[in-house]
Parts: sequence; structure tokens; C-alpha cells
Amino acid sequence: MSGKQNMDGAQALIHTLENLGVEYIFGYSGGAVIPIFDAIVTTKTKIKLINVRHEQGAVHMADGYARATGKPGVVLVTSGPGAGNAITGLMTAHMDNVPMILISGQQITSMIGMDAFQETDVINLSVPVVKHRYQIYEANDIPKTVHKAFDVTMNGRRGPVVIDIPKDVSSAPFTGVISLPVTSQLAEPVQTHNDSLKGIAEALSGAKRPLLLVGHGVLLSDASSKLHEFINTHQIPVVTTLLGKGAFDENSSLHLGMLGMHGTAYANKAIQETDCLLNVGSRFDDRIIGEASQFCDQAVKCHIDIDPTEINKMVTVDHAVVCDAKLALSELQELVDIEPNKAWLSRISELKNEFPLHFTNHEGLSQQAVIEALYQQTNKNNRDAIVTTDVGQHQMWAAQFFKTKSPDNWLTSGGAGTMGFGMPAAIGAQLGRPNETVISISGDGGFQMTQAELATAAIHKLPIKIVILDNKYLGMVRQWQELFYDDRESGVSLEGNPNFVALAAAYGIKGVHITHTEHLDERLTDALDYSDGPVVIWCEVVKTENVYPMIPAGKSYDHMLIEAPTAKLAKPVGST
Amino acid sequence: MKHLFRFELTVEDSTMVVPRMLQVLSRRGFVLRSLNTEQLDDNMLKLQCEVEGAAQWESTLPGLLHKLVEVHSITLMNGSEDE
Repeated sequence: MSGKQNMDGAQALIHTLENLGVEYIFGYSGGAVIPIFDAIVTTKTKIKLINVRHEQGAVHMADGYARATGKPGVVLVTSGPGAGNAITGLMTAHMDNVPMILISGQQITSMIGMDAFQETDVINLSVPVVKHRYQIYEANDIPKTVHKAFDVTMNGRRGPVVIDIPKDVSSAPFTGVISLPVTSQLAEPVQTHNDSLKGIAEALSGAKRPLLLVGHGVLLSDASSKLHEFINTHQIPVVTTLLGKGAFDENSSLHLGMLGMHGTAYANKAIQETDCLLNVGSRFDDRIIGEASQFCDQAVKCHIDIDPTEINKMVTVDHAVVCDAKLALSELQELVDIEPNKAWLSRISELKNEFPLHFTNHEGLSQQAVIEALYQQTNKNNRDAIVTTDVGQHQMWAAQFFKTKSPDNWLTSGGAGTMGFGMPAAIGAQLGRPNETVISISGDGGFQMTQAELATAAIHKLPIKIVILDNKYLGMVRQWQELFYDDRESGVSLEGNPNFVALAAAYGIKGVHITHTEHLDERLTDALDYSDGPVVIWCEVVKTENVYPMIPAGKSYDHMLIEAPTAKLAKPVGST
Repeated sequence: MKHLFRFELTVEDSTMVVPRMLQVLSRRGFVLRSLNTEQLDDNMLKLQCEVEGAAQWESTLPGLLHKLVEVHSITLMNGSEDE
């Protein structure tokens, strides 16, 4: 398509996005993007506009859409505060390598740098939280730039890209070409993998107690089926990071669940006992290594990562390969020659039996009971579910008790730890995968940060299940204050929370209220079966329960607390 | 002990590349010591950079520079010691 049809830059933008297969634009309007919002109407595009209530919500929706579908989410916001409000969402996507395009309107070109109304330097504001930024000065450059941005966001280590378009550019006549071939904007990888991969294969083949550590990179490279093939062939036990959940079926006897600060005790014990750890697609972040010098110090450590700057960043390894996870697993499948070690597999079973996850059923309602019941109900009916979370105690309990069976079904803010992520991410996931059950699990704190998006869910009649685990606390911070700050509470009380069922009703949304375990199954069934729109499931839970196991920040695995400590703990000096 | 590292980049749009380069390098503690530019014939700009940083991260430098988008070439020179 050429620009001879009397098109302007904004219309060229929408046509380009449509050609690239964009289904949804998550957006919030304002002065600098009026031409682009207008073009959504005048082009009669098939792209659907999801009009949100706050830009942070838009970015999290695009994020949830991207994580659930593997396709880039697209966001459209105005200049100044519009772009500013999107920064937290960009940071969230950047930390977790989510593909995303954020298009921001901008003041007219002659006003850039003049401190004009809502004129903010989003190009530099976003530097640390995006993979790349473009500012467009000519309408005819719009298609080329958008194609480049899609290439950048999807290839290599993924991440969000900002495209800033001044209003005079989006309004200017377009005389260019919409459909363009694009060459990659990314430099070639700095390393190849052949020899090092053989080193990893030899290390694994010679191991008596091998263990795989699987991270988000496996999901991002669509390597889950290769991973299953590899693990099932070689019978190597596996632990996952928080973001790696779903890469391998958590119901498998070879799966030990999540490792790290709030990982399962048996995963953490296996980490201490393995003699060869292969990390595929995880960056050895602080939440899983604790005291770096003592992490897995008895084992040969191997690392496969697409980003060379992750090698030896947190943990010094014996063998490293810079490679896409899917390609590496395919080649390793042939190179590894290992007999399943029955004694090691038996030891794994023993650890699971000796240190199971468990919780106490209180007189009231525990968060773990709600999550366990959600899992059992979705699992019982042979349904699978996409689960999104916010950040904090409920996130850790969800990671522990909601077993993820399939890739891209566990959507959570890992690196950034962004409260307010869960419910909007669930909206994006439901739009991307409309036939699947989507459950957002939030605490009362996180939910209230983006609760205005209830309107978005209601307008589009999205059947998401919005679980609010309301303990009237910032629970994880309170837990740290209890354990490490002599139980002095400061800034953690959320007394004054609304009646969330009444809040839901105000948006025309069905609400369910659960306060006791005996009502749990019946009311969850009612909520899960409801499909005419969103449902809010307000669970008033025990207020002061703590998440265990726990490895205090910066401590080695030897310091894992499986139960509440009996002695006073020192303030952690490691990671926050 | 700090080390000096020298490298050259050819870029089309230095306005986009330079802030990102400084940000990416600063995350591993590299500090810019000198930056010279040379306009090339094909509308490209050559950036000649000298950064100071810990020897520990020397092997990371190529990977960090490869994070930059729309950089047409990267040439690394040898590092040298600098107290």
C-alpha cells in the first residue's frame, strides 16, 4: 500500500500495525495522540482499541497479552504524564523480557525542548527501562520505524520498545510505502556455542546427581516441548525459577517446584545436594542464589543464556553457552549420554516426602487454602488455567500451591516485583486467549493500585476470575518487620479497605465473599462457573501468616527456615 | 585497580545510541573517560570511546555493547591498566 490514498501519518501507523498482525491496542488518549486515536476510527481497522482507565493498566494489559500469546503487546499513550504513567509497566516488561511496543504521542516538533504543555522527554525518560527508543520526525518514516521496532522487541533478548511520534508528524500527509521488508537491527551474537555445549554435555553425562534449573528463557524461546523431551529422556530432576513456572509440568515426579527464597524445601535441598547444575534461561537472580559464593558450591555449574552479559554476572560457572534455549536443548539432547541414577531419583522422592509443602487450616481462611482450592477445582475438571498475580505473600503461595502444567499459563512480575500487575495482566491474557480460564490472584494492596481497570474488564465482559486475598496488610513487608525488625509494624496496615463485593457491584460486576474455609469450595465453584463477565472473589483471610520456607535475603541455603524461627533473626544485609 | 578500555562504534543516530550506551555501561560501573566523534562519508558517525571500569567486567564489555540497537559496527581495542 502506498500513500496515494490521501493518508496521514497516523493512518499509516494504524495500517502498518494491522499489517503486522496487531489485534489489540491498549490505550488512553490525550492531546498529542488525538490524530492516532482518530485514525483507529477513520481507517476502519480490524484492530480493537481497549480503552483503559490508567496508562499503567494499559501497559500491564499489553504485558499480559504478550506473555500469554508470545506476540508483542501494543500500547498507545499521550505525551507527558501519559508516557510517565507507563514507565512502571515498561520497567516490568523490561525486567522480564516481554515483547512490547509503546507508542507515545508527543508535542509538535517545533515545541520539543520548549517545555510546552505535556512535553516530556520520553526518549530519555525511558532509557533504562526499554530495549530501544525511536522518535519519528517524518510521516513517511513511520512504517519503516514500526517494522524495526517489532524486529527489535521480538528478536534476541526481548524487551519493550518506545516509538515517540510528534503530533505534527502523525498529522502530516503520508506519501510513503506501508509494506516494507526489514533487515534485523540487532548485531550478531558475540559467541557461538559448539565447543562449550560439548563441555556441558560431558559434565552432565558424568554427573551422579544432575539437576536442571529452568528459567523464563525456556518459555521465551518456546522450548518447553524440547525441555520435556530432554528431561524425560535423561530422567534429570528439574527446579524452576518464579518465571520459569510452566516450562515443565509441575505434576511430574521429576519436578521439584520453585527454588530460592520461598522455594520448596525439597527444591532447595536438591540444590545443596546436586553435583552438576545446568541453568537454562535463568539469570541466577538474587532471589534464587542467596549468598553467591556459597550457591551450589559443591557442584559443577553450567549456564545457557541468550545474553552474554548474564554469564558469570551473579555466579561464576564452569561451562557457559550463549545460545537460544531451544537450540541448545535440541543439541544437548543428542550430546548427553547419561544413565538415570536410581539412587538420585530415589533421594528426590525422599526429599519430597520429608519436606512437603504444607499449611495450617486456621479458624478463619488461609491464603494457601484459597489457592490450593483454586488449583484443585481447575485441575479436577481437567481444566487448565492462566494465573496472573501481583507481588508479595500471595504471589509466593500461588507459586508454591498452584501447579502450572503448561507454558505461558503463569504470568507474574518477577524482576520488577510490580504491585498492580495481576488484574490488568489478566485482562490482556483473556483477550489474547479468549477460550481459556484466566484467574488473577492479588493481595488487597496490589489490587487497589490498578483497581480502576475493573471498568475495562466489565465493559468487555471478560470472564476473568479476580481473586483478592485481603489480609488488610502489605503482608510480605509485615512478615519482614515481624522477623527482622522486632515485629515493629510501620506503613503496612491497609485498614480502611473497601467492601470489595460492593466495589465490584458498583462496576456492575458479580462479587463473591468468602471468609471461612467451609464455604470455599462451593463459592469458588460458583465463581469459576460464571462466564457472563468478570467476577470478584473477595477472600478475607488470616491477617498475620508468614510464607515458609524462607531463606533470609543474602543468606546461603543452609539458613533456610522451613518453619517459623524460634530465635530472633538478624536484619538481612543482602538483597532487598 | 581500574582499567581503561577503548572501543569504536559506528552509528547512524548518536542521539539514541549514546545515552543508552552510557546507561548500559554504567550498570556495570564503567565510567566514560573520553568520547571523540568522526563524521563518516555515508552519514554515519564513528564514536571513539574510552571507558574506565573494573577488570572483572572486561569480558562483559562486548556483550554490553551488543545490547545497543542500530549500531553498525563495534571494534574493541585492548584494555590497559590505570591506577
